[in-house]
Amino acid sequence: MMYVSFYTYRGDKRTVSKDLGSAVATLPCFVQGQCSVLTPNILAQYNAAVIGCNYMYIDTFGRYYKITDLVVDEAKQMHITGAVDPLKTWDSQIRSCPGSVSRSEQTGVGDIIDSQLPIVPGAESTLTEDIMGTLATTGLSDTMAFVVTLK
Amino acid sequence: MAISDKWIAGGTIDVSSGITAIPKAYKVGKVPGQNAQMSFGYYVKTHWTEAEEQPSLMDTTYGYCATDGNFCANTGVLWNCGYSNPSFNRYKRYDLTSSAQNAIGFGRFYPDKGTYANIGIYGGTGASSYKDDASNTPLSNYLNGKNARNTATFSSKPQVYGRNLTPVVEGFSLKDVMYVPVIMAYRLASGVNPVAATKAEMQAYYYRLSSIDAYENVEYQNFPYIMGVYMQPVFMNIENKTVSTGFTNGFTGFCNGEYKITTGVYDESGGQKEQTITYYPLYGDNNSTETTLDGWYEWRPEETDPTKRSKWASHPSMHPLCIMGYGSNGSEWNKQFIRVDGSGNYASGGKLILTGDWLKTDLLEVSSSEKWVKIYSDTITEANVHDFCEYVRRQAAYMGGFFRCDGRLDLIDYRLIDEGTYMGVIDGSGITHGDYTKGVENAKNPSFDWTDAINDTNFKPGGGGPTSGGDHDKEQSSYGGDNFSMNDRTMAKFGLHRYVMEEGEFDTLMQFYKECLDYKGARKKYIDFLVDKGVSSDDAAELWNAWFPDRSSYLAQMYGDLGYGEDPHKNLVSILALPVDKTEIQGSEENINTGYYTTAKTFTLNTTLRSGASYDVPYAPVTDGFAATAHVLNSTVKVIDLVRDHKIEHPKGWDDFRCYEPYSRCELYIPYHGNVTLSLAQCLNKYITVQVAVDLISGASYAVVLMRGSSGPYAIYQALPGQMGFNVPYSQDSSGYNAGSLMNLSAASQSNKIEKYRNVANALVATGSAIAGKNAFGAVGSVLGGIATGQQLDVQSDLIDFQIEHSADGRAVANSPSTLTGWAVHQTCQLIWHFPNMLAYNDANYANLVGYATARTGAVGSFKGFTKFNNVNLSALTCLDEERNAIMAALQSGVYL
Repeated sequence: MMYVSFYTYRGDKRTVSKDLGSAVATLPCFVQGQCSVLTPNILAQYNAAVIGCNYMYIDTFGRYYKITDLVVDEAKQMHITGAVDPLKTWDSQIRSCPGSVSRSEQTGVGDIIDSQLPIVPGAESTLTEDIMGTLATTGLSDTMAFVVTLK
Repeated sequence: MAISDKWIAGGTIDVSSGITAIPKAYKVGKVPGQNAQMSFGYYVKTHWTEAEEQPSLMDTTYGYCATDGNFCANTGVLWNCGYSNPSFNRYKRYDLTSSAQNAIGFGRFYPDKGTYANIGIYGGTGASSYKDDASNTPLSNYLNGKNARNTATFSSKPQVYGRNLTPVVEGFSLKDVMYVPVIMAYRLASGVNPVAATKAEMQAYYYRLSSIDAYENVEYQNFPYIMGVYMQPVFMNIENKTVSTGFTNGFTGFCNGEYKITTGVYDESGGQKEQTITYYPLYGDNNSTETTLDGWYEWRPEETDPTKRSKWASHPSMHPLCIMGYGSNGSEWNKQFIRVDGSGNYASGGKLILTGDWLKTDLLEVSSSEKWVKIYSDTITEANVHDFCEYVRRQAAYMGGFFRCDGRLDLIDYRLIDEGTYMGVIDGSGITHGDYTKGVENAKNPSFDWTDAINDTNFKPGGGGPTSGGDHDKEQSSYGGDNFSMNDRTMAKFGLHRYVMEEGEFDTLMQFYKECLDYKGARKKYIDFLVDKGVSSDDAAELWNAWFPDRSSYLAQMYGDLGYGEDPHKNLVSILALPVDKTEIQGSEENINTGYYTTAKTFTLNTTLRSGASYDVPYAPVTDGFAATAHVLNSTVKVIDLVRDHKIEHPKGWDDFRCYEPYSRCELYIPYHGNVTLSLAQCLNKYITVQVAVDLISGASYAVVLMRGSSGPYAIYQALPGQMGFNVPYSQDSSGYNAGSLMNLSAASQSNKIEKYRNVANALVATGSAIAGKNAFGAVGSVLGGIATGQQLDVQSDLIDFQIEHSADGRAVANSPSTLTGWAVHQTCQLIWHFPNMLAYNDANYANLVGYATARTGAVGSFKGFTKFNNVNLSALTCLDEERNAIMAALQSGVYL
């Protein structure tokens, strides 16, 4: 027998440290035949609260799982299958791992060329800017000088 | 066929009894041709300047005064200005809070007074309110005017001394200006007020082109001698399209060959600047001094951006705008006049010469002591009046803007695509060629929709991201190494004389050449007279002496030096026009040497070419030589800075990858050398210097673009060849002063013809009275008729000046329409930035769903929000491999932290 806690999660599955909140229910469960730690298949007494859950934690395996299916039989038993969520399971360890980031929401503006920023065809804008720098006046004159060569 | 080809040579006209003959013919003097060209590019829209930003309300601004009721909304002004052209006054440097300053005012010329009156400041309405001292002016009006810019329409603008404040500054949109060709005409006495008998006036018929075109108007059937076609700018569309105005100046009357024109510009002491114009007589006298046009140049808004100045403000000074007074002719308010005679000045003033050397028109000589008026003129007849009108339209089209020829000033009706509205065609290089569109076709004109790109609001990418970037070192490497430099070079002159001339100095040289030829022109006038009056043998002898004046040391010297019978222009080897400041390339000043002739020499012309004759010699004695000086050229290759240490900064204020290609692109425009693409990775935040080395003999040039950091040596970035100088064809064949067939008559190649005439004349002299008068007249008449043909052609070529294809800035170009085209383009280096249209970048959704590109490293937990990893070291995890792979896949495809 193992104890399994059931949760309801509404966030993005790509979130590493998912906030599952408090367990909806914690039930004693049993293994059906051979049981994988990655895709376990467990048996529990029917509990209406569990029907609405999509996450579970199996203390024996020490892992969080996404509930992939739940089947209720005529004997009022729930056959629950799940798939391990390694992000949630190992989140604290993951956070400590060094990594190289290619895109980031909160940092990175202006770091490098963002090849994913598309250029829309047409409607190019132009700005013009007269420049003379530190010259007091432009080097060219609006009044022509004539270089006249005479015999 | 060009109109000039049809013109009929004029002659002398007796004005003592008015003009009654030659009906339905319009005598047309030398139409000076198009003397100006607008500078094109981006025109800055007119705008209001906030009063609070200025130390004085009108400081750095220019305003219009008075025009029609819509603009000025003051009947007093309206009364004064009529329908015409208000002054373009300068308000700067005046304390308008002091009524004693008399700051706002303008001169006004009254032809019936022969003097001017400074209308000055006045308040109230009606003629009685004219004041010079502004004593009636309520200063509160001015003070209220400080808020002028806060109001939306002219009608609600506060007024200063009865005039609305109109702080119009800096420049005008192409669409804000409508040109109205003004035909300046010389009208002889006809007894019509204000023209008194035997007196002359200039009159502007800027209403009249359409009338000429339509054969309708008869008012000037007594021959307006059209002297010039001015372009009068009429400003419109300033705000509510009810603005009509223009330029005018006061005119102070006549004084011994000088006109003083009150410019409407004020000097430091508060006085109106006067512009003295001294006119050249046809054959020289002691009044040959230069015309100064300070008043026009003073229109430059000096305090504004010099680049804007180059675009607009300096060019009015080069425009043949109406330099005319304005006044009443009875009820005819819609005309402008310059009285030649003033009030009774004939008697004391002696010979009056009326011309306009800003137009290069040596046209008119009026003298009360002589009943002859010498007019170089051509005739417009009904047969070619349409050609003339087309000529005028083309001249207007050279200005490149909008224009109308119907003389209408009710600008509220002006629409840019009205059938009566024309628009000069500006080609892709900013050059006009005299072509125009009309009516709805204007909308298809390439320049119709020119706008100010600087104020372009089409740019709508994300709109400025954070200015702080990543944590890596963005400091770019500096330019180093040996410093690059260019230096002036000078080579030998090889016996040639090279001078640096301004336009006026060049004109002086041409005047000298022209005078050489004018002696021949004078003879032909003389001959013309003889044809009319008949000739005696004595006359024929005089003719011979005048024609071949070997007694004249002056002429002998002149022709001997320059080559008798040859065009003196042969001594003119080349003319190179360069858009550089004359002072940059000039050396010491000396008397001009041309051929073997030094212009400073003094000669005395035999003043009595004929005696006892009953007619006048049509040219005045020359008692001195022709003095002309110019500065020698100081170098052969000149290095000129166009830009010095300009920091290239991104105009959008970004500090990210968008500052670089392909999200930003930058080109450098170098006048006369084209565009250079700048690599922003190399150049952004660097300092750019542009120098050109120009060969002052050939005009070839080389531009170099130099880069460096804020200091240190200059490194060459780009170098490219160009052509800054433009050869101005000016030779015997292409010269307007080419005496044409008259030259041919006297040239060696035509010696047989000359000899023939010589023989006939000699025979007449030898036989004297022995020849029967009738036969003698017949013989001479036949000879002179042949000569007269040459004379007429000479007159024609003399009047035409140039076969103008186009010109710029008063200098016509002969037979080479492309010669000066480069000059018309923008004279200042320019950075041209391009930005493609991009999606929003500084956007929360973009950040949350896509993320900003970066290349950072760190613990996974040190990042927040959406994060995408290239790689993560997961070796510390004790999970299964399958789990590890799943974790890696998730991190690489993006997770939320």
